[in-house]
Amino acid sequence: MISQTAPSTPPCNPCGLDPRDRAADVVLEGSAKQALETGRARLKLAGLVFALAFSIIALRLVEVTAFAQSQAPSLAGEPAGSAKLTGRADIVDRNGKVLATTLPTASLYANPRQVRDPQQAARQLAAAVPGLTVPTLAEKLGSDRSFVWLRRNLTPRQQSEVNALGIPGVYFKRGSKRVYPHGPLVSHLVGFTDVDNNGIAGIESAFDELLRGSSDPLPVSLDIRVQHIMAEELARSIETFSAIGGTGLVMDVESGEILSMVSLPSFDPTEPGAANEEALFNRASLGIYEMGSVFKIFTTAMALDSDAVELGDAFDVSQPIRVSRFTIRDFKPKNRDLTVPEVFIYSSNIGTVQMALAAGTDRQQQFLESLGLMRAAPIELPEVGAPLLPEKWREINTMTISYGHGLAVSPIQLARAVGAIVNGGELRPATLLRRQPGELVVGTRVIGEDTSAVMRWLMRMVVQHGTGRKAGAPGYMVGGKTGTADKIAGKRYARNARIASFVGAFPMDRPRYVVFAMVDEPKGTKETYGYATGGWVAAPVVRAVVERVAPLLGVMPKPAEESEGADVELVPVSLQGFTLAAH
Amino acid sequence: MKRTTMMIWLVAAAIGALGLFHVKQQVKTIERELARVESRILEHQEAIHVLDAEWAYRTRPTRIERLAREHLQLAPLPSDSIIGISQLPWRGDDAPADPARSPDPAAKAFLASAETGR
Repeated sequence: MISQTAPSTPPCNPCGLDPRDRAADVVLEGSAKQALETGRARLKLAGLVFALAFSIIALRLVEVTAFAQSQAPSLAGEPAGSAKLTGRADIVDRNGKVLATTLPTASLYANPRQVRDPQQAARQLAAAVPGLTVPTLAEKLGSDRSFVWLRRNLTPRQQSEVNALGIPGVYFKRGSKRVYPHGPLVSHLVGFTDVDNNGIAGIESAFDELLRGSSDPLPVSLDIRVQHIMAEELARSIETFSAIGGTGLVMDVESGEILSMVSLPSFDPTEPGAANEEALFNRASLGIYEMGSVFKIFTTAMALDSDAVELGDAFDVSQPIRVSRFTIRDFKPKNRDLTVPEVFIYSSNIGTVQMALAAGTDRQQQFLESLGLMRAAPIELPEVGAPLLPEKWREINTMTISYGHGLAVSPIQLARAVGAIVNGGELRPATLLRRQPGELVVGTRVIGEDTSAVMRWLMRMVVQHGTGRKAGAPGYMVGGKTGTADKIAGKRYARNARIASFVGAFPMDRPRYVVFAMVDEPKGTKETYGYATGGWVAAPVVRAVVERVAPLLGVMPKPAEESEGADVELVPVSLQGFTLAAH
Repeated sequence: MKRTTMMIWLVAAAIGALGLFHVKQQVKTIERELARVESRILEHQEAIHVLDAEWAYRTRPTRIERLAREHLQLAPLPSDSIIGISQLPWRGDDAPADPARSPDPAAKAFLASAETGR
């Protein structure tokens, strides 16, 4: 500021100027005055701008504190899902039971340079953690490195014990480990992971990306109760008949969901390295087998659906069929003409071959293709076996395939195709993932409704009067077909190595589930009079499974008289009133 | 006058500063509490997760079946023991017959137990 009056006697004179040399009053005129006015105006403007800025800040402050309550960010609302904890989603069964989960673990490591007394520390640690020995520990702790692993994945108890020891230089590293509470029961389906928790088999591998990126459990179609029952009954049968293995499936015929998929022998998924090839092999999806007589279901359905044969047609089965070097004969020959239902019920190879020939090779190929038996099953597993087709489909192949030899398919393909035969004629995709209840599954039509109804009756008759009597669970109207196939050993069929199978569905008046059981290389016992056929070995498994599973799945059994009534209704209109000549 | 206004403003500023400081301290305390609670929630979630796995392991069908065999007298339900509600013998005008005269011993036993229970 310019002072307008100068004091006459200034107390000090800091700049060495002598004010007396100047005029007493400063009069501002002209350009000097104008400059002062400009300065004042600029100051005012600057003051105004600052005032405005401060009032905006003040207003904003009032707004934020007083009026913006509802927009306050909330920290507590953020969900902390299990994936944030573990990094890999759980796999659960259709009822939410945990099949695979990831648990946090602590791994023990040490910095030997910080360990003061290696000998004493080694003794203490060896006492707290079983499996660690004093000499190796002492060597590790006495080394000159700065990092050594002592033990991976401690149990919580071991962790707290080690923690209580308070040894300097010993630390925990947090990690996670995949845990399978059901052990070998679901190992083929769920699969397993490697040390770094990457899925390398089964569902773990097929949905690896999804499991890693999500926190929501992945529900599979499996029902752990059904799985357990199937595994138990199969294991019992394998033991009884000294077999080398077996496989079983339970599938929903409407939705294609697989409720049970058992392959025995099985393995512990936490230690897949300890299991042998045989145990790791998934017989249900990867294994392909010549199924034997169960294929007569498809041959009969094809012949009836294409009108190549009528239900009442009869075939001469008294003579074996000879084609080039092959002879096709029946297991229990009947010395007379058999009608179509009789051919099916007594499982006559000769009659079935004649039915296939009546329909023709092209029709057979087309039909098996439409049932999905010529291509690998589209199922959510990396372990899927492609069917083994004949190199060239000659007439002899048509003949042998009609009764299940010369074409090897996986059990999953078979169960799915049988589901299509009994459910009214629509092939639905099989799945290992749970579908929403009421979800409409689009299928492709493979046979007519009428043919499907006839097939249901025929399959029911097999269980009532034919080779599958041991599958008859009272009240549940089981229908199905037995199969006994000689296994291929090298280039020819082995005489004493068989595959005994039974594929069925229940309840036959309105099928809901397909049940398949197969036992690999069963040996006959005294109780079965030395027989090791599908009817003696696999059919009882299906009966036991149906009896135990049906109440769980809400299938109402029918009292005897009602069941008989329902059986009568199964009989095709053209045959009602007749009785089968044979029984 | 000018001086009074000045004093009022100064006092107001001081109160404001004190108030702000107080609120800030409170927020700090609450935030610490929040962080503590959140870490405890995580701990509990982890514990629940471990217990879920433990539960799945303890309730696996293999074990339940073994325990049931050892400690319970239960057997698989035979299909002829299951009947629909329509087949139950009801008392009433439209009852087909007197259940007491029914040849089914199970129905009689049921009625007898119902009588004594009353």
